[in-house]
Amino acid sequence: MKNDKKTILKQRADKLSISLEKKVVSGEQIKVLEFLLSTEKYAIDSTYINEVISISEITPLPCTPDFIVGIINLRGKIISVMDIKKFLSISGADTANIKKVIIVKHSDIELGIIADEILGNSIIQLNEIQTKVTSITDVNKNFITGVTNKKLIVLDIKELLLSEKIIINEEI
Amino acid sequence: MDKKQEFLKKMLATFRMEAEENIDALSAYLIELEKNPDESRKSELIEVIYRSAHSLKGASRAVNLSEIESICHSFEDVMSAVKNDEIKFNSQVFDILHKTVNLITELMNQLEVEIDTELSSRVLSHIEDLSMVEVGLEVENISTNNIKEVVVKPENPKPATQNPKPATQNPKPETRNPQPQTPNPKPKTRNPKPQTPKQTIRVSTNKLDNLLFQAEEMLSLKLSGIQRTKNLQKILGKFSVWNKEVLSVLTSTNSIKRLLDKKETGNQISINKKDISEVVQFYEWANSYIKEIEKDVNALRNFTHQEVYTTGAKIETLLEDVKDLITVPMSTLLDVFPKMIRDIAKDLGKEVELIIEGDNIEIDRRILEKLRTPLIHILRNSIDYGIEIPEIRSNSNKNTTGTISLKVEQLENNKIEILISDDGAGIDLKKLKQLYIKNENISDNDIDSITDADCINYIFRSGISTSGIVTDLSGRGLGLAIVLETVEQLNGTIDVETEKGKSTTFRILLPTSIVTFRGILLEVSGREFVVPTSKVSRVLRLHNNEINTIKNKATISFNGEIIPVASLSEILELDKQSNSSGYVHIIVIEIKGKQVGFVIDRFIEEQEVLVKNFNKQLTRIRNISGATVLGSGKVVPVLNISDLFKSSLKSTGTVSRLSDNAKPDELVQQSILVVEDSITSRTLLKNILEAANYKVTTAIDGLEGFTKLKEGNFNAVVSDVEMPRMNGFELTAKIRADKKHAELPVILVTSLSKREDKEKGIDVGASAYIVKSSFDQSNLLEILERLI
Repeated sequence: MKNDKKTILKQRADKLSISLEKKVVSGEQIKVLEFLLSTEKYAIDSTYINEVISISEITPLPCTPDFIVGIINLRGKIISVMDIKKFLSISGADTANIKKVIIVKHSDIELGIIADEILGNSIIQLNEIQTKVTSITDVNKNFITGVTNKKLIVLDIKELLLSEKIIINEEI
Repeated sequence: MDKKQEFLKKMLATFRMEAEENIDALSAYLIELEKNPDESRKSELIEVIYRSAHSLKGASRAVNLSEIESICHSFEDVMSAVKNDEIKFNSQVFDILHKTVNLITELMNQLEVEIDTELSSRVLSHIEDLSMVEVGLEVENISTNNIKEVVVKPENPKPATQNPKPATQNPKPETRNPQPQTPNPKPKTRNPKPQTPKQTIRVSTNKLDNLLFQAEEMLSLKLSGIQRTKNLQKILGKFSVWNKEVLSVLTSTNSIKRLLDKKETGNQISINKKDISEVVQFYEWANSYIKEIEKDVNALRNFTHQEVYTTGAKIETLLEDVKDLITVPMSTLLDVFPKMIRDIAKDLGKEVELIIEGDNIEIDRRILEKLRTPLIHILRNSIDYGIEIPEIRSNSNKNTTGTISLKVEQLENNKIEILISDDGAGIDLKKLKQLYIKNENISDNDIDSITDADCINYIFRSGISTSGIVTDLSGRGLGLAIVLETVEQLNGTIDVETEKGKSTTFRILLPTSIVTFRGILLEVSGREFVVPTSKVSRVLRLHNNEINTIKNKATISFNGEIIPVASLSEILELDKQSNSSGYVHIIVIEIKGKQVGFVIDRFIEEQEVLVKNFNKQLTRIRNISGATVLGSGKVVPVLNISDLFKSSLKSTGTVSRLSDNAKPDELVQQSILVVEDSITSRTLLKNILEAANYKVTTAIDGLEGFTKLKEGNFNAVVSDVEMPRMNGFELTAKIRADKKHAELPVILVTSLSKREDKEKGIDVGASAYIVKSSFDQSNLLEILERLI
């Protein structure tokens, strides 16, 4: 919990400080939150992150695709939680015990993304991101901005949240 | 986004709100005006329409929406001409005014984007039309404004009834302008509905929704409090085990103590005397220490219980109040219908009048929002299939204008009833029966057993349409299936009645608010799920060999009925749990008279649940309608009953096993009828019985009790003695005189403790007689258990 508060406070502080920094540093850059999911490191643009919460249990939901981990109760609202790795069909080990959920939001869509560990905030220069990565398939390349030289996978979270592909709308 | 843009955006949002109100008002008043009301109402309406157009004009100018502004300006001019008796209304004037409203709505939808050239050219030509109308000229071919309307308007040869001096009116515009500022004698007629001065504020629905979420969360606090009390009760139970064990060694401890007290030292004992003495001392200390803890826990339990009770009551009140905040009158939805009906009917070359009653009745906004689509579907169906075209109507001696009435009525128990009827052709049952037989592969032998009710309920199945052709309004056979699904999701019911050539009536029953309902918590493949108790007709435990296979489908027979059975874990695509007990648990669910059994792992308990919707990512999940939060904080999915039904039809039913003569034993949910005139006692009894897992129906006196008894199926009756209309003795005698219920257990609960009364109770045939002063719940439950 303590850690969370710190993260949140730090995020807030960072958000507030962003305009100043922008003036100082030139060149296009984004502020991201880095997190670990099994063996890979991912990054999400902080602008779309509402909060990070610790979670002890996620209720699995039948009849949904496997990238839906389940649902949680977020202060009275039921929020779905998804596994980015499964959604992007990136191969690799499954996550054993999820501890953190990153709540992301854009216009009317709000959802959780699971993470094994939150690594913290950082600033990425856009020109440092390699956009041509062989391991990225055609299916998911829209949702990945690119990979940094530190092997950080930068997600295009806005594109993802706006995509119809994440919406589940199935009749019998 | 810079500040200016942000400001503009905010302004636009405010404008939209105001404009929507004005547009709704405009179309509603135009419709009313068209019905030709008496003169005083007419001038009132004209004034109101004029003012709405005027304020819309002002508002759009403020946010720089020149298109809307200029349309409103012309609209206002026309109304002003009407006001000054310069022109008269005819159907063309109405058409063009309605079209104006449509056009403004269209423009509203493009607020945030560049208006396309096609639309803006339409705006221009429409303004021209308006100015023609204003000076009393007939507009030629107005349909070019709106593609949809090209087909209609064949006749109408009567020349314009206005004054034949169009040109002379032109000089007027200048003098007209100052009028808006000095509006006529009745300034307060903007809203002609009876207005009591109420102080209101405008709050965004977002804020209200958040408030509701928070208030609902409080409810889970109450549930978790109940859970805590149960936990404490469990701990207390453990203490009583300790106390029992202490008692069982009491004699041994005493004799050891006596031995130790004796001065003379026996040889064997003396060796360990000191040790034994210490152990005994410790034991005695431990014993009293545990007693103290027990006392503390007991106090804590009582305190928690009390707290749950008081905070629970406060939370209920809070929730009620919040619920009240989000109720809105039905009119917020229904006001737009007359115009919509008018437009649809016109497109189809039909004449339809919509009569709305009871639109002041208030309902939860969330329910109302979901009602929009079903109601529109039903109304469209009524126009498309129900109401005949004018020629046919006049041939069958009906008024050429068809009538659709939409009646809303508030019923008891927080329910509302919506009746939608049309005086059209009715539903073709013959055609429906043919479809039914064809699609369901009914064999010739069974055809006779198909009832009209079977057929008529069949229209709610998707893919069913009696219409030969598919129009863009209906005919695809999806409409009524969606209607049924929505209504059931709202925990309501829907029925249809039809009389060939005369009418069709849809009857929808709905709760006025969504808060909580009773749900059954059950386990499937090791996971928990909730189903609404109202949809569950039975919970059974059957031996494996009581499941039969008929035509490759697993079934059970119960009370002479054959009920198909499906595996819930299979439907939910879960791994099957191995079951070695030889027994299966089945919940039987009923929708519209059809039953299906679902095999589950086990039934956990019945409790109060609050269903929450999913977020947008989970727009629609197969078989699951939402989720609820248990007292423990655990999130549990709520199953979608209509989906389960559909899925069960597809399921292979692999639970099959051959056998005959199934004899299921019913496990839970015995049904009790409680007859009691005092509301407090009635509620108390109901709560006690429901807590003990009985299904309870209540009646307020003997007469109502007896009626309900005949309607339902009950396992026992619990009745008060002193009641109006028919007392408990009379009721008991009546029950005993009835052949069907001669054996039904009847328990009289009464404050009459005199011996004669008790004897009288036994004379009339009561099975048990409980005096209220000696009344406690275990007593009643014990007796019930013995009798049933």
